[in-house]
Amino acid sequence: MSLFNCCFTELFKLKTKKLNTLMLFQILTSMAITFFSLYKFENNHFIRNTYVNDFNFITNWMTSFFFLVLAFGFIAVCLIAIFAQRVNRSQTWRLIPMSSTNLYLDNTLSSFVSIVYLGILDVIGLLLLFGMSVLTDSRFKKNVITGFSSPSNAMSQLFNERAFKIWGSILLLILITLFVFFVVDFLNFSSRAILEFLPTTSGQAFLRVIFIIVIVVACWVAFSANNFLASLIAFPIDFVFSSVLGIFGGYREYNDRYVNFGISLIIMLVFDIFLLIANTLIFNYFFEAREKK
Amino acid sequence: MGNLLEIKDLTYRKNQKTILNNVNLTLGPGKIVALLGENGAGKTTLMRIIDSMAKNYHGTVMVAGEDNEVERKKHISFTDNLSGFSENTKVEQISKFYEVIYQDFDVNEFEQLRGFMKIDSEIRLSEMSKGMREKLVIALTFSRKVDLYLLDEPFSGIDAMARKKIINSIILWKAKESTILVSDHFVNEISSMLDEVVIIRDHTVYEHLSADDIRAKNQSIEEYYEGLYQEEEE
Repeated sequence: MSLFNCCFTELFKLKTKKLNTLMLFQILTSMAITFFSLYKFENNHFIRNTYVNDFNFITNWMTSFFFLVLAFGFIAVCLIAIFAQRVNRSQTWRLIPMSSTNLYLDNTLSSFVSIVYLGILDVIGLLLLFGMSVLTDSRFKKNVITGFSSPSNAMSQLFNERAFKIWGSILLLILITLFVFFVVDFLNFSSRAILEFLPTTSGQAFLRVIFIIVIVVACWVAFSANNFLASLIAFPIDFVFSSVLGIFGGYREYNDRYVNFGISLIIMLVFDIFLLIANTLIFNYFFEAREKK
Repeated sequence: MGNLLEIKDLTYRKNQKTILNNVNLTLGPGKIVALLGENGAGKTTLMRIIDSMAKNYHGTVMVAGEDNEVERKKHISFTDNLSGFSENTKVEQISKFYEVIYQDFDVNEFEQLRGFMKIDSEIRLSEMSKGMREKLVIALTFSRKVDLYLLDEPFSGIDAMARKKIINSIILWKAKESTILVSDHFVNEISSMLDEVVIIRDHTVYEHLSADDIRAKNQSIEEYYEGLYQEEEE
């Protein structure tokens, strides 16, 4: 196995260890939320709230779990992004005989795959709860059967206009996840690189000031670039979408929405590529491992 | 045989300060060399540059004829500060990590050194004292079979008895052709094993001489080193 793969495996193991704990926490939190929303404590007994729905505990648990997926997903991305910074600055990892570019790519890739792993765990969890709900909750089962037999169901329309929304949203989610990783890297790398060029080592407070300045400058650049890119790519996107949707017909009224969505995807992709290149360069030439004895 | 380490016209600046200026240094194979200097003289920085930890320097650094970052690292075993491991990590897990990552890591050698240092494989980093950590770092460093060992103040937290034992054994742990560059404040204790001495002063290599030449002047290395600073004070 190549060194790149070995490092990937080790980083993936470290990151998924954290995510497994987070998943356990998500399961317990969703259970607790469900329990306390369904039951109240009266006369030394837990009795079911009458004002909530008629679905059973598992179906309600599935709903809570589903709503927590996004919240915990965001926490997971932040957690992994911060952990990745520890790896980037760690002498243990920087001593490994591989190029800085490869180490950075390895770290980012393992972060991304660990988030995909969390997504898979979420899907498995939801499917299990879904299956259990169907088996134990007759009301839910009835709703599912009705839903699936309806011609307007999303599954039956997978290849029509919703397909673009579904796959586009997944793609946007992937690009946003990478964007979060790259932005955290960029803030860390650029702030520390700037700090090392300044006359004095002024400690944490000064580092925070640099962080804020970098954030403000980065936001301004991102905003300007966003407007510029939007105007630059709006015309070809509009042309493609009008033509494609025109051929398939029937969705012209949604054109603007599609065009805007398409532009968002491309702008996010451009930002991701730009940040990846910038981070790789800073990591290679200016970002050193922490000197700690 | 050619030089193992060749540093030419090395200059390194950080925070608008010159840390190292025009450093030129050559080390041959099979030597044990002390890197001496005051606190903040740039000993650690020099080691970090040799192992590509510090970036953005000017000049050339070649190890075993290689100036490429990756190739250089393959020839060097540098004392790790274990910052990549959580406090919960067991010694056994660290050894496994090294085994997976470094092809030149000898597990049997590590087990022997671990036994010598009396480190339990089940112990976690959080349970280890500073001295025990340093023993572990020494064991990990010497379990790699490389050309150049960079030991950055490896004995500072280790008790006097164990330090003496480790210093006396270092010569047995390295291959004949390997070179050790060690920075330490306990000059007296390491002096017996030294072949050469490099003194960093005024941001550059102030002296690079053979330990035998110093001894020939009926001076111990410690006396010689202290003499340099006494002259300045006078």
